[in-house]
Amino acid sequence: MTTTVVEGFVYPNHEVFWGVLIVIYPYFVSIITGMVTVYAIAEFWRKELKDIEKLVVISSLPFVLSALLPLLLDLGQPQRAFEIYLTPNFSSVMAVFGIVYLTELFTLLGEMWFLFRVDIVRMAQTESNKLLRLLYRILTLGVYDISEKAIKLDKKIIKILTGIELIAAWCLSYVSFLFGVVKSNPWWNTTILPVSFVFGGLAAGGAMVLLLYLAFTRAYGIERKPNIISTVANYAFYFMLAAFALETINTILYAYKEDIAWAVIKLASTELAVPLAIQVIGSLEALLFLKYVCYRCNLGKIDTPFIAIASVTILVVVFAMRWNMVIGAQLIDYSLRGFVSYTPPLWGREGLIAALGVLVAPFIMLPVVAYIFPPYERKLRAGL
Amino acid sequence: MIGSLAFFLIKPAKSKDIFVYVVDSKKCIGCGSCVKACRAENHVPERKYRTWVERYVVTSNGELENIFVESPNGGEFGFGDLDVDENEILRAYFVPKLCMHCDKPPCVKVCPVNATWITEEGVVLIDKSHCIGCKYCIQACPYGARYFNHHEKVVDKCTWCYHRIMRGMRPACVTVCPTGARMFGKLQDEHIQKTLRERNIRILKPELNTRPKVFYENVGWEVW
Repeated sequence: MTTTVVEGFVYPNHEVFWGVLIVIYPYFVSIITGMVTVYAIAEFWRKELKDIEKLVVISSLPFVLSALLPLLLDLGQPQRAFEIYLTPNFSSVMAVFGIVYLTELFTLLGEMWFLFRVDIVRMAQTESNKLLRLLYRILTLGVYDISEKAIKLDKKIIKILTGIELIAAWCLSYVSFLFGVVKSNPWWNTTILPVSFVFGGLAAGGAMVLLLYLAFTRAYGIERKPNIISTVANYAFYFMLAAFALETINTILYAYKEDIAWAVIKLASTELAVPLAIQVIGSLEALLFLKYVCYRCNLGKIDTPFIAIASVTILVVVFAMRWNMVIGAQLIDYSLRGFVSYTPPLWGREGLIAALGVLVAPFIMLPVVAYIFPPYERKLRAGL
Repeated sequence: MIGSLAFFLIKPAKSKDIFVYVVDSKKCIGCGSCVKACRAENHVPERKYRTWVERYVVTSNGELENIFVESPNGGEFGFGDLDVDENEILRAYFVPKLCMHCDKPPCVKVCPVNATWITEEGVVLIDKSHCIGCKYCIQACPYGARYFNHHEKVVDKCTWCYHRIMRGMRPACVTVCPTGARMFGKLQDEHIQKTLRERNIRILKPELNTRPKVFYENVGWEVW
């Protein structure tokens, strides 16, 4: 039993139906939105981010692939999941997201192919390992034209795909609609929720890019550029600030209006003391650290520990935000007369171990993707 | 896929012969027979309820009203004695609850695979062989009428005993009610029309615009 009645009256069928896995799903989607947005910023506006384009694209793929895992694990009948594509209900936000997800996946794959096409062709011709050479040959799809004209065309297509992917990623991020449309639940039924959700996601994606930049530059022996870190950190700062401000405004409005649900929301919030504290204190700490990182980078200095701490904090804060949104709202009973507590089980399909497995899944896939599509050429570590 | 699109664009015509359900809370004695009958008729798992009974006790000791609501085991085994000074009780009554079979059901709107739908007779049903168990409909139902069947790994709820009513019988809960607190029939039926015309009738959570087809008589403002 993972749900227990804490106080008041709850409808007898009430449970926390969506557990920790459904916290991870919007969390991954948030990270994807943020990473895709950073990529689009690099592609369309900030040329100094061109250096991290390949890194961002290859890192997005494991997250996009892993985003399905928590959903599948949460379904009662996962073998019927494909019905979303066979008999979709077009008035269901969930069914529409199935379509948006496929759009996101295929545009990302297309973008990767065009971005790495020259590398793939070269590897197909020069790779010494027979198996890898065969893989690269297959990946060329029979196209070996790497003339200037062809590359120019590739770049144009990449721009179009980036535009589509950006729209798809933002639509995916509006996964919060999935919660926002539930008018029965006062915690979800707010106009601010989808907007704050997107900003939180953008900040998380920026933080993930910063962390991966630190890791990949170290692994590949590439010199870190302060202007890249400064630009991404600056975006992450403003996105985080917006998310924090919107969440705070939402809470203040609720408390001031004191409508019928507020009494139970206030009480249920005691069950969320830790994630709420993480959300508030972590947001402030991350904002402070990010500004410091930007300031140092503008002086041409890179403070790796500060960048790492700020990025990890944002990722933890956004996870706490998702936890509060998904679990917090379900603690309240729709009778608005009581609330329950939720403790995730350790084992089982919806348990903590499974959730941990889902959380690390992208980081297991990432080295494999990076091995096939290296984002940088390896240099000597002496450069660091 | 094309069929789903057609279903989405062209809504099926609604019959005028729809079923409705009326509960008279004044007649309910909280015996729990309805809950037991429902469990037996529909093989409802333990600690899950297609129907349940709530007890409302409104008291006042000179101050504004205090509302106490309870439903131990869904009211299946009745209710214990009240631990309240009788002089302080303003009103006390039982309220049977069940799926409202809404005319604008939010559960049907959110189901990603069309596994739940509203029939021509206005009954909201679930195709358990098609349900993917995403539990989105449970989240969407404001009345807490849906539950997750952990054995079958799908969502389930009250069907107004569809297998019975389509054979001209009444739902099990209506049949066993010893006081006639639960009334069922077609909207055009004389006894239903009489009730809906003549008495003070209300629906639950009207502000959500779900248009429930379960009507309540003699319940206070504190019921939602």
